[in-house]
Amino acid sequence: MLESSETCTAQVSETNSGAALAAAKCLRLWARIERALKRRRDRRNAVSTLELQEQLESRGQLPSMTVAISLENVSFAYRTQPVVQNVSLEIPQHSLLALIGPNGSGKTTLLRLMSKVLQPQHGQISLDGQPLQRFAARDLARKLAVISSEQHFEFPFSVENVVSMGRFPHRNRLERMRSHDWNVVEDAMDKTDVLQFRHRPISQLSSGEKQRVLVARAIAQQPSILMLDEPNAHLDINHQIAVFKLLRLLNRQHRMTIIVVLHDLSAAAALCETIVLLHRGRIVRIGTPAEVITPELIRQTYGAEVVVFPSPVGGCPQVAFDTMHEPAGP
Amino acid sequence: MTEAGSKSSSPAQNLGILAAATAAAAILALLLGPVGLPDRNIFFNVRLPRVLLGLLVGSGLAASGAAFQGVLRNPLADPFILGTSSAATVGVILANLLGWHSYYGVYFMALGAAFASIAFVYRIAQTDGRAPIQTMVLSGVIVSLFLNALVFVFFSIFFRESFTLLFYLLGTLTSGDSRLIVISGTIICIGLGVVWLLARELNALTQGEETAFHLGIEVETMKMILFVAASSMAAAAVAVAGMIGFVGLVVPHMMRLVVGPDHRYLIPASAMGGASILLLTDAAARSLIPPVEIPVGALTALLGAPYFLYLLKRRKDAGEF
Repeated sequence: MLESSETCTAQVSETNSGAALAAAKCLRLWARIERALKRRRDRRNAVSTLELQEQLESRGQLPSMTVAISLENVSFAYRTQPVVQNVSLEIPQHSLLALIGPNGSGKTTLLRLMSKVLQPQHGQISLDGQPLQRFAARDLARKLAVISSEQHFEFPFSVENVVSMGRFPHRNRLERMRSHDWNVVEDAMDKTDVLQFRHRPISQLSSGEKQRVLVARAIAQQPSILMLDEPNAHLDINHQIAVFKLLRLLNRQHRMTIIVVLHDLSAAAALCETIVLLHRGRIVRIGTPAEVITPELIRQTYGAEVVVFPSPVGGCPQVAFDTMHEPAGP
Repeated sequence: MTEAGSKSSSPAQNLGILAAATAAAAILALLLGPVGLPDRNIFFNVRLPRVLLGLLVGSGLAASGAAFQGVLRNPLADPFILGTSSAATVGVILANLLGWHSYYGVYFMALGAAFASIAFVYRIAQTDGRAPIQTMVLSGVIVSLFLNALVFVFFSIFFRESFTLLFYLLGTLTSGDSRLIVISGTIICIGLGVVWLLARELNALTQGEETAFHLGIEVETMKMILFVAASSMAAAAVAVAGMIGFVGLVVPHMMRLVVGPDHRYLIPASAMGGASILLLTDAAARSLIPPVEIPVGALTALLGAPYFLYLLKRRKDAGEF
């Protein structure tokens, strides 16, 4: 009797461990599948960095790692309408660069090409010396954070939740947020001064506060490059100043490469060291604010009469509208 | 343990409460019915399969709705809006017309039609390699109207006398066929697992597709997997219980109030919430007017539509539209 009950328990525990074993097997199988998929992706995506380096070295053309992004003869058209035409550009690491140009000049499209949202029909874009198309989404997200103008707040995620989404590319699927991840998130919220409403739903914040939360999420990604599409759109002047100060801090102290599309020429001149002026999908001029923001170039590209004067703060060029003088002629 | 930080335990606790509520609803549904205390035969052959079916169909529909809402970033989306359920119904009817009465035939047609309609809707909405949300929802509505019309054309030509089919079309949990329950249950459980594993991707997708891509998500692939998983769940529910509306639409809304928008909690919460609501509605449907049984799909629509209007009004008042 005793014996049989014991065998019974033994059997029960056996089936229990059997189930546990089966579960463990399933998990292991899943992990193997994921590893296999990753290997396949890697193989398809890339000659490894090392190999590439070796190849290039043997050919004596080691890419200078000081270039963050380079574009070679890049062209892009929506259907048949060309938007970016034959653009070549090298963006050094740690630069703070503005893309400006009139509406439809292709500055947002250029930003989307550089962030792999769009693929160029011609030409080559490289990130840290490697062709952009070889990056899987996740690898790209560890190097590059983007705050696009497409923003959705339909669901009431808390600020903290939104910022911790920046840790997605650094974790595996079922991996939890580690204390390191939390520190990064905390730090990002601190830098952008959003800690005081960390538990509020992002949908309830003002647009300036929302923008800061998105910058916090981008910082939490710990990227080496940050791209922003008109971060000051719809912001009051105080929020604009706060965002710009933050971008400067990230560029100076954290050596982040920052590429920003701006509408406001004075803001671009005040914020950035380098300005790229686009017109009809081509680069018209690259240079310092003083070289690019001149009445002649602005007349040529925007078709507007403006007065440019040095800012009383720092001396960078500022733009004033000239609405006093009628153009000469009938 | 969670990404909600200091409020960490609360969504998990709420999930526990929901699980208890679901169990209570199941027990209540087992006890309620036209026969007060059922005998052994009724209990095991009628009541139990029906409650199991309610659990499966309710959770499948609600989880499918939550997934569609997340992918489409549209709190008003669900398998019905996108035409998935109507397509699955057409599939089931076609399988019957073609004489494919085997289980494989029915499920093959239901799932096939659901995938085809989602692919079609997606294809229609796609421009320049992307499918904008608004066009997708709009084309979904059109496709579902077309397919519903088709269902009733088939019905009036081939099945005019079939009251069972009419009842099925209106949505009902009366199918006591254990194999249907097993097959649908398997599909729904797999679908739930897949969608829950992709909860993180769903969270990222709610922030916009470009943003999700910049957060490291392979957007198009993930969207495909989520669409297939969500429409499989909807098709499996339709194959066994017909078109039960509003569960997929309303339940995720209610659950967002309980556990918040994070899909790691929202998916299981919707599954449990959908199950308990469908069970309770079904219990009401069969015991409100004793000899008569109302199709549960009609009752969910009667209850769901006003709640939905209330949601619309609240959002409008809050200026969110």
